[in-house]
Amino acid sequence: MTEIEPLRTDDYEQVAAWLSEPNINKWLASPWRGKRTVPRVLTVLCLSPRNKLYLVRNDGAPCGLVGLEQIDPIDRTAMLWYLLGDRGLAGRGIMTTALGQVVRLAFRQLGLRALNVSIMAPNHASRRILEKNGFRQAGVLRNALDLDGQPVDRILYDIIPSDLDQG
Amino acid sequence: MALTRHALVQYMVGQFDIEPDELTDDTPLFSSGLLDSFTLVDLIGYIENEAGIKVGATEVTLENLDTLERILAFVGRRTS
Repeated sequence: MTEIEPLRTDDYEQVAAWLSEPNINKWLASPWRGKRTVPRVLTVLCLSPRNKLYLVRNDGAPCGLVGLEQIDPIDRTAMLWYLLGDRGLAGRGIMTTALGQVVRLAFRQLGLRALNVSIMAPNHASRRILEKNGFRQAGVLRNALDLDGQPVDRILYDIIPSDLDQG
Repeated sequence: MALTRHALVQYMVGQFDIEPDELTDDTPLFSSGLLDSFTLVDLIGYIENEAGIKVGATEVTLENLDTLERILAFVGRRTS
């Protein structure tokens, strides 16, 4: 069973290790990319009401993270990001389920009206997770991100509550 | 070692592209978005080095770190 719960202090070390793992780190946004994440970054990130991080558990075991960042209480939007820390669980739909749970929470409990995600174009697994959850491609910024030293397109996705109703 | 207000402001202006006019004693640094998570981590590292203290995980709070005044008061408590 896949569940999400607010990230707690005890989880920071595990999540920081995932964020530093090269095969995960290379897909992250530029502030995270190419550097080791220390748990303190997560401590600081969780200080702000503009950020909410959720630990993903599979059958009780921590396996991933979903984050809402740049939560804007005026426009009621946020940016979403996620990672599967336990790569041995890839392909089982865990992150698809977890992402859907966070999206519903964002709309129904936090009152947000739109979520957006930025993805590196070659990250096909991540794009499938979004599309299965009803996200729509909103645009492409060419050569906007760096993957292993090469420019790649940045694909923007978004979702609004009515997209969920259609799913 | 002692951390002064002047040194703190100089560091922030030099490192974070903040104008001195933007910084008053009660300017919210993090909760306002003036500093992001990564720059606040850098700032904590600077405070630790300058004041000769180690900031524990439970001390990383807005109450201790969100303004110049709070930072200096926190460092004062830790070093007194």
